[in-house]
Amino acid sequence: MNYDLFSELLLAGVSFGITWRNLKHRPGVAIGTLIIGLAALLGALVFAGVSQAEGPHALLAVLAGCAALPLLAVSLCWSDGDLAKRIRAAVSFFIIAAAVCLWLTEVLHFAAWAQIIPALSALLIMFGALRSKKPTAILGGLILLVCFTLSVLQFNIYPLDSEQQLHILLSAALLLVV
Amino acid sequence: MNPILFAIPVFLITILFEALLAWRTNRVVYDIPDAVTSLHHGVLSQLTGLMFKIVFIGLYVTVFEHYRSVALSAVSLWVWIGAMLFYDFCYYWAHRFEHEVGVLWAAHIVHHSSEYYNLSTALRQPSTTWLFTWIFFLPLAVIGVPPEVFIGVGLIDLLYQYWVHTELVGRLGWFDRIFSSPSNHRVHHGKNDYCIDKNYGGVFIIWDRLFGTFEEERDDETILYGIRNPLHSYNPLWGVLHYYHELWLASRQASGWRAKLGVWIAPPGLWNDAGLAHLDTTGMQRFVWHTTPAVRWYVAVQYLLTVPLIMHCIGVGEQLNAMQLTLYIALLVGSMQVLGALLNMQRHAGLLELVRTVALGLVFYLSPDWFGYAALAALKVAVLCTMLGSALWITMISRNQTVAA
Repeated sequence: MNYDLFSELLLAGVSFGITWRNLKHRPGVAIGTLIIGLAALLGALVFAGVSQAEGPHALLAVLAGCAALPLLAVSLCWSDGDLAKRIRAAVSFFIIAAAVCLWLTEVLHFAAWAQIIPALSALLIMFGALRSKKPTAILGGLILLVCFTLSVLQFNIYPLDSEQQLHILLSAALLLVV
Repeated sequence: MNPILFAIPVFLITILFEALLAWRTNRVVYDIPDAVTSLHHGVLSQLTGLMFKIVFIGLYVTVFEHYRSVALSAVSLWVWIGAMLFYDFCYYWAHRFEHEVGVLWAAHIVHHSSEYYNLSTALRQPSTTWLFTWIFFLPLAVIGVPPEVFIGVGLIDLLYQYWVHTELVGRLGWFDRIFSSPSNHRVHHGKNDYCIDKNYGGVFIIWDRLFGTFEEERDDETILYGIRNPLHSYNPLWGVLHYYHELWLASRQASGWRAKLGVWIAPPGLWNDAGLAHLDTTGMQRFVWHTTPAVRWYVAVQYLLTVPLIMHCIGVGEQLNAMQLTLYIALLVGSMQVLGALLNMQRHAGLLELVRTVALGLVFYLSPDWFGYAALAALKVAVLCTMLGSALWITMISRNQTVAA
């Protein structure tokens, strides 16, 4: 079994499912998960042998962490806000956040940005979950935090490697949080 | 060599030709202060481009090298045609977001701040688009369009849009339905209700037809050009920064950090579900400041005298070190600021202009070389005489104005 392909497909499937469910009423959540799903889909293509998807996957993975995840976090935390409810606001936020991310990481070589922002987003999602007092959301937030902590510590649960573990835990967290 | 360098003389000649044609047909198409301000913005945009375009191109190259899907051939005609189409598609979205997101509009507003619509308006280019707009073009790098093709099609797209900024060309039939044309683009620059957020296309107008932003020019309604909150200033730097200032003030007034940040992402006029406010265009006049004819002509002549310096700066910019380049740009921006102050009839502008002309003449005459250019003695004398003559001219204008006052 190709675990890489499976974990990417799982994340893509979960993300696109959430996108589909939220497109009408929560476009902020939908756009956030759409980007994460696209990054995962390109990853699946890479593991299916389509080498042309490698570059786009790498770029979209960075943008998913630095722009889509913060959008998702803000949309979940303040579900009545413009970012959560207006598709134009959500897309604009994603574009500005992506531009800032590329400025900092590629021009100013501040690579830590690509780790700080996803971590802060995970904390924000956890904060939103605690505020909502929904057990599933809190569990999802916890899984997300565990997922990023394991990723930073490079601790793997056998037989998964860090990437596969990240994708599977992220899929579970998204399902529970949204 | 920067290709814009070759375009500058063409721009100036065609602008003069359009002004002459309009004058012969008794049409008010040009206003000297407005046209000079447009040209100032064009120069500012090129000068900031000298400093920041390298970052944007560098980012494109980085994405192309690290994240591209495939490497397309730079010598294939099909790649060029495909890249041209895709570039224009990306341009449509970049342009649309520039109008619909506050912080992007703050950069792009410069291009719309003229209340006239002529070829000089085409050159009224923004100076801060390098901040965010580049991201819309990165998909080209991701699909593998080589940087040289990207630069080429970008230049074609930009230069194409020059000729559509005119009132002297009417409707063009089938052409208007496929391509961006003077008629389509007049609508884009209008502030009438039906013109707002329409016709974003750069070369092709088909994108607007596809995405629902197309609007045909109406025969029964005269288009009023410009922005709904007019700038009322000929100061080029204020023209670049004024909307950032407005956003800053709106952000300070908003309560809560989310609202403060939201101001920058919201569309101009903030989120408004009620729709666009109606603009009553009856009896609306263009902005006319009390700049005297003598000052208008003086500034126009001074601008033309500055053109060789601008071309030289753009031409040698890449060879100068950071210190020299900054100094050269500061000198040109300072000159434009003083000319803008003259057009605004600001106090002390005459004195500043006197200092500028004398200092510029003396420095050019006394320096062994002008940013790497060793001028002939005859040229040095000619520049000194011209600048001293200008100093005399502005002194006379200032004295006459004082007497008149």
